Amino acid sequence: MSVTESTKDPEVVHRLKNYICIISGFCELLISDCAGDDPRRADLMEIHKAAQHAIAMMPEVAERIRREV
Amino acid sequence: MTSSKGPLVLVVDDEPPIRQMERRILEKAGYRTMEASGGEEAIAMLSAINPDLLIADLDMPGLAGEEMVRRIHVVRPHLKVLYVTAHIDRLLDAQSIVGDGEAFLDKPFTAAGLIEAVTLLLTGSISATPQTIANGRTR
Repeated sequence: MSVTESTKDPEVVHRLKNYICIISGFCELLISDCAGDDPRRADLMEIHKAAQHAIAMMPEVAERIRREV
Repeated sequence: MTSSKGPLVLVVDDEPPIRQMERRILEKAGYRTMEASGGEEAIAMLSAINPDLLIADLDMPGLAGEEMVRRIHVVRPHLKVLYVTAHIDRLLDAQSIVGDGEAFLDKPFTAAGLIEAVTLLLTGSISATPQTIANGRTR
């Protein structure tokens, strides 16, 4: 395996990023459709916050998976 | 708000939810959108439509994003392209293919990030709106 290949994100990371992108993106769309006093807005904000945390964790997750692969 | 006069963006991605999400975000911002599930379909569509910008997933099965854009640029050399990829490491590999009127967006991206990238590519400014772009087309 070359140095370049060893630093590439594994396919599972690629798929994870796609899923998080879908969760976060549709969540943003739903939030933008919610009125300020809509009770569902707080729930959606929690989902969005969790997605943002997951995004922030991706480099560490990728690095751990890369080491195992 | 969907504008019937906004710039047309062709979204090419093999993942249906990603295509739908990108289209809804852009249509809310006033852009018109169409979609293709792969490179071959996108190339076929371009015989009938004239988009202002192409959003190209780099990591598609079959005809990959770079090759699709290379073929499209043979006949549409000025078509602007926003590459999206979940492989941040591929940005380095693919830098040599990025030319004028092209940019990258890393997945996961935000709605605001997508709109900014598209608007910047089309106008050079993030403050422009799809309506002002449509009214002041230079091509």
